[in-house]
Amino acid sequence: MNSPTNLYASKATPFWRDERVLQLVTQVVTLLAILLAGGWLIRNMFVALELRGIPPSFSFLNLTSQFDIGQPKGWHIRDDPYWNAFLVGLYNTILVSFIGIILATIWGTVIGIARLSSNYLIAKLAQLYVEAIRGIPLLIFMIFVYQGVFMKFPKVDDSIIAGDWLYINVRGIYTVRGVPTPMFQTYSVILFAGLIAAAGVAWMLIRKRQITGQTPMTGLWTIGTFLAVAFLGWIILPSAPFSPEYPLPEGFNIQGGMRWTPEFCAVGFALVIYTASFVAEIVRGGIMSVSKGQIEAARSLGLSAIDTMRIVVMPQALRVIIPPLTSTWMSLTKNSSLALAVGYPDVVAIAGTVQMQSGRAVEVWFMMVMPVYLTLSLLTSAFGNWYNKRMKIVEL
Amino acid sequence: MDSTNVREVENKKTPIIVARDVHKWFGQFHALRGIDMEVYKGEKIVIFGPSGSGKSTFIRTINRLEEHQRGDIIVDGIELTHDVKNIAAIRQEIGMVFQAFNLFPHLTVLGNITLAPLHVRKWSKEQAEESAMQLLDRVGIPEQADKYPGQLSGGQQQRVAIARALAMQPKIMLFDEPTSALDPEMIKEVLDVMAELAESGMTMLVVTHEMGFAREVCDRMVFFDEGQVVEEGTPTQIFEHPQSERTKLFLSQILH
Amino acid sequence: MGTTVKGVNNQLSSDVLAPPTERYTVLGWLVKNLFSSWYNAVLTFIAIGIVIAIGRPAIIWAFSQARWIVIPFNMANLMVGVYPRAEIWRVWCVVYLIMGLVGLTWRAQFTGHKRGIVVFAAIMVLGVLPIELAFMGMDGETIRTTSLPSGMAGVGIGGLLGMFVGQVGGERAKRLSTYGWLWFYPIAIFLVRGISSGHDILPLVKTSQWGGLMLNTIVSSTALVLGLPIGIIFALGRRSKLPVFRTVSIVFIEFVRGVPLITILFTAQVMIPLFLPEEVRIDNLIRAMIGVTLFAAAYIAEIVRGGLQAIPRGQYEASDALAMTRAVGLRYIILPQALRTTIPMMVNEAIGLSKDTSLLKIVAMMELLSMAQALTANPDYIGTQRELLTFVMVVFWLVTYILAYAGRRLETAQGLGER
Repeated sequence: MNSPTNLYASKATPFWRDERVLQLVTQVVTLLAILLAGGWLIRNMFVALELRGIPPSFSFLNLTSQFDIGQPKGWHIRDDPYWNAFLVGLYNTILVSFIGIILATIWGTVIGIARLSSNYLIAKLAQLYVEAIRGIPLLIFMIFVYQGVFMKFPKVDDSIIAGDWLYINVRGIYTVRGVPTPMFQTYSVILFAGLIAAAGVAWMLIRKRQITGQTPMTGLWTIGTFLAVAFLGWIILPSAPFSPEYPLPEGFNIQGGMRWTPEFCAVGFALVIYTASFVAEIVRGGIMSVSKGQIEAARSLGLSAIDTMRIVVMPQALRVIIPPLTSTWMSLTKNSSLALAVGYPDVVAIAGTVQMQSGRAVEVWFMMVMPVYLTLSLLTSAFGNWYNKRMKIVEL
Repeated sequence: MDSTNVREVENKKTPIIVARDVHKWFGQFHALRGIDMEVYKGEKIVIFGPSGSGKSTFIRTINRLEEHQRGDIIVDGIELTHDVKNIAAIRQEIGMVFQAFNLFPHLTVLGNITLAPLHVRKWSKEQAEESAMQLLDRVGIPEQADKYPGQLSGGQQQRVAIARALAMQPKIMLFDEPTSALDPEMIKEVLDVMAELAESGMTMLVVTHEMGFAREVCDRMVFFDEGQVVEEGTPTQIFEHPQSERTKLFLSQILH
Repeated sequence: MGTTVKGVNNQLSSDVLAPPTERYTVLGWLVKNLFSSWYNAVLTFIAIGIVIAIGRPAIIWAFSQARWIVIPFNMANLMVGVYPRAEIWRVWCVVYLIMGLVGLTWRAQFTGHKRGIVVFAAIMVLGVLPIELAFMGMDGETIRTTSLPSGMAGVGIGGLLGMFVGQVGGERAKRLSTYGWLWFYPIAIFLVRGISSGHDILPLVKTSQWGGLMLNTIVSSTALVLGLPIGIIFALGRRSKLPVFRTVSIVFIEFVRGVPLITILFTAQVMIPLFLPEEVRIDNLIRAMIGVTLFAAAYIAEIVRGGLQAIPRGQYEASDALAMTRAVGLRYIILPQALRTTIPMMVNEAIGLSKDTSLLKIVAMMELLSMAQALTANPDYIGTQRELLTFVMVVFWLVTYILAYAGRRLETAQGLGER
């Protein structure tokens, strides 16, 4: 029964006991405290910077850097401005991270599957690998690999040689390099056509799956189409699109070819070996998470072992694997910053040099280097989310 | 049986719980649509109805586990507003027993029961433990005092939950489907405890499907449907002369 | 209708037939596990090939070419850096205290302590044994300075004493073992640091003189001890409904987790002095510790957040219904449960942190790795990078192993998953 008047007049809640007021007030107080403390810190910083004669600004980026960067050779010399140095450093970070992620994922998957092998030796070796690597700090491993392996390679005169195309010595690993010839333009057109053909194949197979419900090996056919076109294109062309440039010893050095510096090799090698042990555990966990009942059901339906893996196990395993895997990729990218310890000029190493020379610590670290990694973090997790969503619709 | 349902009701003039035109929305969903109810001290009320009808939501608004957006709720003369002092005072007067027991798994049974008296009422350790043992005795499982909840059966856990709520010496006890999560053979032991509690004069609001309990123990039954009070009356009235079609329909569904 | 029970040949057989025996021979095992199919056999050969290819040169180097002597000669440097040799006894005290606590915790909290007694007794005996004599031939003076062998005896004694107290102490011992670790931390810092320059017994040892493995340990324990409460605060903040707390927490956590530790260390080194007024001088080490602590706090916050998410809403409701304030509920109900379930992840974090302390080398802290590298500059020890770095790797690996082991014991002692 609704009575129009209140039996008890609503007593006004004193504001200091009102829960809504309290919630608001605590937030406002905290915000104020943070702003005040932050403001005081920042004010001190500006005062200190003025005192040292380096008020914050980014104009220093245009000054000449006065240092060279060894790799990639010639991209940055001492007359080039600081901002160029940064870009080169950024390139180096991305280069080693990208290659590292791909190799570490492949190698880690191998190790992860090896751990599940029925072959006792293989399984034990993989287990030993994982347990040994996980206990060692990456920095030490990197330094050990650099000083204990790559720096102990023979001198240029005594290089380890494989045919004409591979030289290994203390100055790095030299391989054949493909120099684009005039034919390259035509070839790129062919490659582009190959991409379109592969996309077409993929589209057709996806349609086929939607219509008939069968699961053809979309990924395999797509990649296969592209490779077939690339291969045929190469053969058909009158002259090759790339001409090989062989590394040749000359004096105390090697001329030509593609040079992988020992620094790059050490960083890459250490990153791959180290991260692979984490990838192995993630992959193993993912495969083990698919309950045996799934495999039993699939086999009892008559699916072959390969099809079982492909259609039933891997998609489910991948769902468990992808999230921690993307965060491992991000870890690898962040770990590449250790390259500074072996002299590989990644963005952190360059930043350190720039900061020492220009004194611009705040701008360099806070405004440039950290945002770089934050952006890469965001990109990696965005990619991971996208892939996660995609895995729910299309399956390879 | 009317005679057994007539209990001594003290102070019939001032209800101990007053709910007036209470509304609650969950986003766009209008869960409570103008509930009016008065509960007098010592009354046992059974609230029943189909799922989603708002019964649990309603009793949870009384001790502020849910916040009502319109209307008034007054418990023992204290109005339930945004005043944190009021909310705390009301919660101390009300004990609640949950469907999922919600015992604290990392504490012993004794620890579960003594926790609130120690830290809210600031009793001494001896006082709290003595009271706890008495309550355990009352609900029939004094020997389980040093066990952990995970080692007890469902029925035992719920009895511990009742003891834990009683440890704060509340004036009102709320029961949110206390037996719905129990295996059938354990329902009786919990209902027996609740019946004893009723006998001792506690004001009780019970949301339940146990119609046998309703018939035996309660003074008044309230039928909820779609966020509103459809009908209320004594058990005899409800079971033998239901007025509304919806009440008749629901009763026919659960009394088969 | 009755049922009939029939056995073989219409008789109830009360004999239990033995299963057909498999012949467990070495050959049989080999065939089954290594050569069961053709590709398995190929894999086995590949595996053996790998083992030989890597193992043989490594073993040859380790046993014949490596100059391991550099390590025991420089053990003091590696362990405590340039800490004044006259004050090393204080570091030994800290080590004995640790051992005592370990022994105490082992006995008081864990079950099955017999192995512990054996371990500690072995260490003690090893320490007292005249290993010195063996090295006497090679510059006994150096060995006495490191005082390694006799110091080890104290390690064993400390551990055994701790176990003894744990045995007889009962409940008090159990509480001591938990709080002991907390109290131990400031005591340890106090012992290492000293009081003031002129003091007789405990002269001040500046932080710039702290180094070696001791420094790694100090930094990682500081980061954990201080990072835990900070992390809990941010975890609670992240789960709060109030936008200010949530935003601040998210910004902090994602920012710190998104950048490499080394950038945080560099930033701390250069920016902390800028943030503070000119007169205030902050130690290099303290700046680094602030950086590592904040880093640890962010990761711990995520771990605690996961633990909090695992707690059913009913726990919060029950504590509300019992009129407990948020603070009381957190302290007695929510956090104990959350922290208990996150122990494995915390151990992981501790392991990661202890490995990350090697990065201090890059900000000019003389911790274990930088000591090892500095030693190679000594003309006596040119070219011993491999030996020293291997030693460092083994030390870190051992620390990781011990922490992982302790974590596993902690889990079973808490009875995770059993209650």
